[in-house]
Amino acid sequence: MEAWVRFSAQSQARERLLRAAQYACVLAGAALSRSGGSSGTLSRLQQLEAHLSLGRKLLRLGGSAEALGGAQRSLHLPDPVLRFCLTLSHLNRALFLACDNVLWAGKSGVLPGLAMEKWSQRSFRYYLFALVVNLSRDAYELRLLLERAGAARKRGRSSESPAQPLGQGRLQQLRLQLQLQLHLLLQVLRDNPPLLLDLLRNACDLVIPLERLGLCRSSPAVVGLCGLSSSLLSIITILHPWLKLKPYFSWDFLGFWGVLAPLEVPFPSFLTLWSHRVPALDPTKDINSQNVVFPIDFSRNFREKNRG
Amino acid sequence: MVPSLLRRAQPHDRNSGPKLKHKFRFFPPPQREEELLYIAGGGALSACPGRAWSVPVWGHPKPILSLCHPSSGSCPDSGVVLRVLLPTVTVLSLWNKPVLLLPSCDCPCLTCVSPSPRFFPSRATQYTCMLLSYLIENKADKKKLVMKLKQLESSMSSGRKMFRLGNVVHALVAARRAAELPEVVPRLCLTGSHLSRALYFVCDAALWLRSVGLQPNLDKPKWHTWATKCYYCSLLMNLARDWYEISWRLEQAALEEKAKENCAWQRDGEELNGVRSDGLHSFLCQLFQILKRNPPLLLDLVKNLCDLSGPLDTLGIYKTNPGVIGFCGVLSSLVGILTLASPHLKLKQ
Repeated sequence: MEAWVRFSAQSQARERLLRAAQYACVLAGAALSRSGGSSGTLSRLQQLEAHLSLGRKLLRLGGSAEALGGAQRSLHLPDPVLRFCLTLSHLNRALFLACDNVLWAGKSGVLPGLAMEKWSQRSFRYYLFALVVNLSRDAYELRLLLERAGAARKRGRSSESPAQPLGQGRLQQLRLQLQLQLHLLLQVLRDNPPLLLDLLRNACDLVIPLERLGLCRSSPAVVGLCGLSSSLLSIITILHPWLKLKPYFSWDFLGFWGVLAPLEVPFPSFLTLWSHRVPALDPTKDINSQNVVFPIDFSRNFREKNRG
Repeated sequence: MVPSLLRRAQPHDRNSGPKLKHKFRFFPPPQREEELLYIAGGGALSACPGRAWSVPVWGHPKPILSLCHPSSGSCPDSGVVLRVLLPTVTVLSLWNKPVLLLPSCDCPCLTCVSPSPRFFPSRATQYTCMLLSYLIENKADKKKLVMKLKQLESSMSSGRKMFRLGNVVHALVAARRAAELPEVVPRLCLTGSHLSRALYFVCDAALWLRSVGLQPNLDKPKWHTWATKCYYCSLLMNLARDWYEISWRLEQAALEEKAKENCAWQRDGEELNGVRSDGLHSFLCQLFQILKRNPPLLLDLVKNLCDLSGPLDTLGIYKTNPGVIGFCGVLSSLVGILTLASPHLKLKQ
């Protein structure tokens, strides 16, 4: 019971649970309508979904200010791409939440003459922009990690000389290359669960505004499934804060993995599959002899000034 | 294993190696395992008196953080005071809770404050709408505004009901914690209060199910009456506990005064000239003094008294108008917000 108290004390926890319930309703309604459920049950599910949606809108009422605060904080990031992406994402989220607040006012009767459809389209457009920017940030982090993994692999293979069979056609070589790249990509994703979770979450979330704006036709079942899975992924992120994608994720520092030990793991141990990859710092040896890079020297100039 | 976001400072580190030409101050490393600090994507901070650690702080060119001494003050969950050698504002993750690090002016001392969950003052808004709609009800040309206010109030109320759905567990956990208190009267009162609050949340959840349409056959007036009775019961127990706190403080004050009087009598050798005013006046004076000296107690008393107006009206014990209920509701919501913003104003158990 204490676990629930601690979980629900987080700021986004209950909202995510309600979101999961809302999309579960959508999914259940789609499944029931396909398998021929009674119209009474369907209408009840729709009513429940509408209530959950309105309640979530009420919970989000103060959100624009917080998103603007996040945008202001992300202006201080030194990496220009991350700075641009995160600030833009926060700004778009702030605009989405503002439109959402107006929609709530309209739906709850405070502003009865509101053009709901127009404001709804507007809010989904901002949400879509925010998701696209988030995905581009994920792609940037992924690219950095791929480069580093590729360089490590090249270093590892520089000693052996790969014998190139002369008779191979170009197509075969291309296919081999693609396979290698895919393998590298999967390895990088497997080694970095926060990035994987964030990527999956944004990809699942992308379906919702695409469908609402009419850019991509899909069934309510797909929307419900994607919404439910993205809510579950963000609940996992809340339960295990080390799975949250932080701005310096792709930097080569090891601190991310250092806290698996004291964490209680209510989820099954697939999350601790990665624990064997934690490189242990030897506390007895000198810390300088161990290959550790801290994000303290995040600027190249700073590093070069202090070198030698 | 030491998570490596913390540099384990060695005193000889100062000038060794090109990587270390940062302006850190190094102090001897901690001696015991429990002095280790884990900060990373989440972790526990333990007390580490007198040690300095350089911890990378994002967003600042010279991140130096030295952890000085533990304090149980403003952050009961983690209880660590972090001293910042250079002012910086950033956010680290601390054991599920984000920690806001704030510098202070003269002694750059930090308290780890977990920022309270973002909330919109929906309760305050709901009661403000109630008050306003009562005030402008009788004006002829404000009918639309009155209707809008009533709509806003009902939507806030239903939204709050939905948000409160998991609070049964909170109340039960609080009751279990209250059952371990050392003194008898607060133990009984608080346990009873939390248990009846749990029952209130159960009735509230049932009412929400009815309003959403999942259980249309629920008898709304009966459940509403039961919910109000449980809430009333919990408020009475809270008031009993407040009264107990006031009464033992009154006794203590009376004893102190008597001791002072005896002291003064022995010193002066004559009876006090001051005429003792009548009992009620002195009682009220002492009550006022006690409440002035204990703002948490005062705030809790005010909150409970204001909250009492709603159930009294619903149960028919003391009927008032919606204006009074709205005003009392606004007052108690403001007290609640104040308690959230400054946790030291909360009445400790």
